[in-house]
This record gives sequence, C-alpha cells and structure tokens, in this order.
Amino acid sequence: MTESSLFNLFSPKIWSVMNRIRRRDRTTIVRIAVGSILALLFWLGAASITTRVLVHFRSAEIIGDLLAAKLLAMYWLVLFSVLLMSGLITALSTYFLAADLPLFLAAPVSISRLFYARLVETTALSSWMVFLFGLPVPVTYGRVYGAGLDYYLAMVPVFGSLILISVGVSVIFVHLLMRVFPARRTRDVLILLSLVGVLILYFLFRFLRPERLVNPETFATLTIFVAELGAPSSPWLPSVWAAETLIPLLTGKEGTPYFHLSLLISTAAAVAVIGETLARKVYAGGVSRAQEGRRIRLSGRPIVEKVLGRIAFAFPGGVGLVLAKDIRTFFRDTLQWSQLLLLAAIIVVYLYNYMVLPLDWIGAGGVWLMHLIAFLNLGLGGVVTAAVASRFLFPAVSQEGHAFWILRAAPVSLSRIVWGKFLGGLIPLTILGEILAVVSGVLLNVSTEMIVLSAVTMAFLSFAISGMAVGLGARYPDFRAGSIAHVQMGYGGMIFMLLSLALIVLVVFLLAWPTYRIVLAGEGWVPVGAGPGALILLAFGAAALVCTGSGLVSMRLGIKALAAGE
Amino acid sequence: MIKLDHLTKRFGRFAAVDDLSLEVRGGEIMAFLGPNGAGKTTTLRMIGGLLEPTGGRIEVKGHDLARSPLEVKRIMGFIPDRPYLYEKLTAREFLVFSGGLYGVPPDRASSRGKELLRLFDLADWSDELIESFSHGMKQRLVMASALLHEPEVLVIDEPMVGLDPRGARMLKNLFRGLRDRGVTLLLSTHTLSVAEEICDRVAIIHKGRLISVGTVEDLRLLAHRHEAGLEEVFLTLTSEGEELKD
Repeated sequence: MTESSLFNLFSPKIWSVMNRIRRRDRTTIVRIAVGSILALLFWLGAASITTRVLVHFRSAEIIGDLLAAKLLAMYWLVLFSVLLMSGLITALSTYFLAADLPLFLAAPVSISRLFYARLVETTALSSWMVFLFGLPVPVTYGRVYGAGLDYYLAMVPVFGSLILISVGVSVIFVHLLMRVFPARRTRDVLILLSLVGVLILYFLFRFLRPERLVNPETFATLTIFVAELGAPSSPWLPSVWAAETLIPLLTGKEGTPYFHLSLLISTAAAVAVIGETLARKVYAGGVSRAQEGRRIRLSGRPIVEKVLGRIAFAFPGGVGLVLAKDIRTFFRDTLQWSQLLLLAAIIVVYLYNYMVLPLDWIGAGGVWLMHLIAFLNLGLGGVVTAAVASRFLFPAVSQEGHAFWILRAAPVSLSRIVWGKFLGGLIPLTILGEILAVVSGVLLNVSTEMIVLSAVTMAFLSFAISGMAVGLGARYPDFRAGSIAHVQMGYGGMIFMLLSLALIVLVVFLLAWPTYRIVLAGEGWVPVGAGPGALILLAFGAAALVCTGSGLVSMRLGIKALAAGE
Repeated sequence: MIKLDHLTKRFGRFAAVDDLSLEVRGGEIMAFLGPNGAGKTTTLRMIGGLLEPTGGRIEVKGHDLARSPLEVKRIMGFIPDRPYLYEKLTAREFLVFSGGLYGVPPDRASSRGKELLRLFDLADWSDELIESFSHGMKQRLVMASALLHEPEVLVIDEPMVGLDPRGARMLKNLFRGLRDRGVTLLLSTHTLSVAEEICDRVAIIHKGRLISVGTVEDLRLLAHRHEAGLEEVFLTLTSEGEELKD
C-alpha cells in the first residue's frame, strides 16, 4: 500500500466547503454574500484612499517618490508582521490542537507528509484574509505609477514567498515553543503575544494621527518626518526584499529586483525544508504533550472561589450557578478574556479621537458643531456597544455548546437562565455605553442637558441591544460552533447586527429634532414652548418604547424558540 | 501480535499507565477492562500511536511502534473513544478519505465502502452529511472506516457505546467473524457481558497497573468466585487491586 497523497490529507476541508455550498447552507451563503460585499467595499475604499495618498505625495516634488517608496516598504513590513502573528495562532491549532489530528496520527501517514499538508492548510487559513485585504495597496501603486506587466507578474511570487516565509517561520517557532510549554499554555502565550502586537500596531497607527496628512499646514513637516522615519531596512528582512523587488519595477529606477525575488523564493523553500526537518525530530513528542490537560491558575484561587460561590447562590433558580460558570469559563479561556484588552484599546482610541479633534479650526459655530458631534456620537457609541454585544452577549446561549443538554435536563427555568445571561451582559454593556456617551460629551465640552440626554438614551439603547443580543442569540443558537467567531458571523449574528443598526438609526432619527430644540433652549436661543414640548416628550417616549420593546420582544422570541427546541 | 513491554505513561507526577506488560496473541479477541480512570484509554491511545509512552515498548506483529510507526499503523485499525468525524462530509466521502489515509485507492475505497455501508446498515445514508447522523450511526460509520483497509489488528475503545441491540449483535458477530479470519482484536469495554460472550481472554487494569489477565475461567479461579459472572469477578479483582494499592 502506498502512502496517502498530500491532497487526500486536506481533501476533507475542501469537500466540506463544497458540500456547504452545494447544499445551500444558509449561514455559509449569507457569510459569503456579506463577506463579498464587505470585501468589495473595502477594496474600493482602500484603493481610493491609497490613490489619494499617492497623488498627494507625488505632488510633493523631490521627496514625493521617496515617500511613496518608504510607505510601500512599511506596508510590506506590516503585512509580514500580521502574517507572522496570524500564522502563529493558526499553526498551533492546525499542528497541535486540531480535533481531526487523531485520525492522521493513527493512520500510516509520515510526519513529513502531515507537516506539508498542515503547512498548506495553515498557509491558506492564516493568509487569505491578509492577502485579500492587503492586495489593493500594491495594485493601486501599480495603477498610479502606470507600472508595466512585469510589476504585476512579480507580485505573484512576492506575495506567495512572503506568505510562505512568514507561515513557515511561525510553524518553526510553534514547534520550538512546544518543546518548552505544554500546548494549551503555548496557545495562551501566542494569543497574548498576537493581541499585544495588534494593539501596538493599532495604537501606533492612531497616535500617528494620519488625519494630519490632509491638513496642508502639517503635511510639509509630516512628509519630512515620514521620509526620515522610514521603515526598518535590514537586508535580512524578507519584507525589505519584497519592497526591493517591486519598487524598481514600479518606478523604473535602478535596483536588483530579480536578485531580491530569488532571495524571497529560495528562503521560502528553505524555511519549508527546515520546518519539515525540525518536525521530524520534535513533532511526535509535541503532539503527544498537546493532549495533556492544563492546570487552572488564578480562577482556582480560594478568594476567587469564594466570590464565585457567593454569586452562584446569590441568584435563585440556577441563574447564579450559570453566571458563576460563565465567569469561570470566560476567565479560563485566554481567547475570551484577552478580548477585554482589545475592548479597552477601542475605548481609549474612541475617546482619544475626541481629545484630538481640531477644536481650534472651529470658529463661531463651535458650540453648535460640538452638540452635533455629541449627538452623532450617540449613534456611534451605539454601534460600538452593538459590536461588543455581538462578540460577548450574542454567543452567550450558543456557548453552552454541547453541554446545553445539562440546562435543558435540569429542573431550572430556561427563561430565568436566559434572563440571567441578559442581566449579566446588560450591566457591563451599560457601563461601557455610558463611558462612551458621557466621557466623550465632557471631552467635547457640551452642555449638561446634552450629557444627561446622551446618558439616558444610551441606557435605553444598552437595554435594547442587550435584549436583542441575548434574545436573538437564543433564537438562533449554534451549539455546534467551533468558535465564537462562527456564532458571531453566522446567520443569527448577521440578523442581530442589521437589526441593531436599524434600531440605532431609528432612535437617532427620532431624537434628532427634540435634541435640536433642547440645545437651542439650553443655549438660551429659542425657548421650547408648549406645543414643541409635547412633541419632544412624544419623540422621547417613542424612542424609549422602541428600545424597551425591541429588547423585550427579542428576549421573548429567543426564550420561546429555545424552550421549543427549534 | 500486540506486545506491551513495561509500558508507562506519566502526566507530570501522575502515572496513568504504570509498568504495564501484556501480550495479545494473534487471532484472539482480548477484552481490556478496568474501572473509570484505570488507564485503559491512555494505553489504547499509545498503541494507536496518538500518545508517546514515557517508558517501555509497544510491538505490533514484530514491529516496534516507536521505530516503525508507519508499518504498525498500516496493519492496524484504531478507533478512539471519542472519534472525530467531519460533520460536513457525507458517509461515502468520509470512507474514501479515510481509505486514502491508509493508501487504499479511491475506486477500491469506494467499492469496499459501499459493501461496508451496507453491512453496517448505512447504505441509504451514504450521501447524507454526517452531521445528520445519530450517535449510533456515527459509531457504525467509524467502525466501517476502520475496516476499510482490512487491518490485521483492531484496537477499539468502547465499541458498544451508542449502539442499539441489533447493532450490538451485528458487531459481536462481526468481531467473531474477523477473529475467525485471523484478525487480532483488543477491545476496551465496560459492557462485561460482551467481554464474557465474545472475548477469548480478559485483561484487567486498575490504577495504571495490570492486575490480572486470562480467560474468564482463569479470572474466576483467581478471584475465588467459581460460579460467578464476570461482573462479580471484575468487582472482586478490582477491589482487591484497590486494597493492594492502598
């Protein structure tokens, strides 16, 4: 008998996707459709921004091209870093933690073949999104500079080699890490490393204040700054080789593009061979250790146990028990609690945006504009809370997963459990919403009436969004989902996001005129008067009713569907 | 056919399998019994090549598993206690894939797969997604996939879980038939009646150590329970093992 072919080793993944499409799996089709639209919008947006930036740069004589080249080098460096981070997490999962590994380990499949099969899978999984979202930039460069066919042709091996190098290095790193840590701990370390990396990039980008590029006064000094800053240009960095390959082909200036291209290709091949050699030596031991359990640390401490014990019995009917269980599992899963860091970063950057608003540009209509921004901020804050709810609250019921039968079989009321999950989500979500609404109001220096109005509206919105998230999450649960992202991106998750956006738009629409009148009155310009006063009350009443109603109806729908076992 | 030589597996300081030596002869069915947490699954996972032993040796048909893993796996069919199935594949696709892992050409896998699906009462479901299968159907499918490459040795962790009486009877007859054709079977099970009914010999493991091995009759003698069923013999031996350990 011959050894299994490489294709056979990853064929189940391909067949699975084909079957999903062939059988018109609703979630897959919705995901593909929404994903395609978003990707297209992103492509158009990225191409348009890149074109504007490049045209802007090229208008600066002497250093314009230099600046564009520097930015391209930085682009390749960022792309390479993101690929490395994405590769690390994916490699750990595909090589050491995948559920289907026992099938291959029990079969007569050599480690070399398994290594290459998983390398293909890791490469595809970790790079498709980076590739898809990264492609518009070099393509736009080519368009703006009127590059020849050789530029576009060279992009294929440049992208391919860079992706393979980054994934190969990640795979090697993960194999080495597995010699030091057990797999689950390695996973935690990698998740945190990647997250910190993303946060650093995020903060760096935001604090560079790219919006200053459009301000003619700061542009001149900024161009000099960027030109001097440049990207790391170590001759050992593959991202530099990528830039050195493409820039001469792009600008027609002197260089050694084919030398750098061959460096990229040969390094990619070498990394793959080195990885395979290493895997043959360490993989068997690593994958065996990966099956060992891990110890609980912080959440097993007596003080934490005491607090959770209190919570467990503070709420009757099993609600407290479920809440305590949810808290325990949340903090034992690095993939979950580490998202809080990301959330904190989003809040910081969100508020930072208001701190760096160019208030000095605003003239006489300043007060008016501030109130307008504060009002629109309600909608924006609502969108942020909805996004957070879709990540943390919507999957709350689905997260019971295969263990959901325990709740169903237990003599507890499902309705109470779902309401418990709602309450558990409502409190932190309201706090988040209030921080966004109130602090940004204070930073904008708007009137007290406006701040109170924002706070009250945000409280109602938080109630509605929490109810919709938990309720629709119960209406469209996915107990088989492999990850939260699957739940979030599924059919129900999409419906939740669309409905919450519609709700936010409706509330903003209902409150626009009343807020306008209140601000006018607050500034002493036009008193409210009896007639408009009644209309204002009516609008606020309608907004409150819409919020409360959508939260309650969603919860009722979810509980009913869950109880019926739909 | 299967020889375990001072096999040990430690997880940190805990010895899940402790200096276990055992031989399963060619063409016999051996039941591997033990209370929960005794080390049965760990032992079978080591034989299946999923876990590396901390110490000792595993030999299958004269091949050392550590030195020649592919030779061993080629002649072996292994079914873990919680087998993974690709939910979005059909039964037929899964068999072709699984056969491919063992080097069975697709057309052969397809034709033999058909026979096996018929044998396991799954013919009508061959083009349905596995996600729509019941637990018992999945168990039967896994069994079919393990037989696809006509293994000489079958190692199965809990074969009877989830099977209805008809399925269980069919499986017992199948095991007997395989033994008659010279296939060696090592089964871990909690269904003692199955062990009593079809197994040639029984090995009992407790707290990682082998406490007895032999025919059901041998074990009765060992436990001084001459008229007793295997259940009572098992309980007697494992409680003695408990005392010995303590």
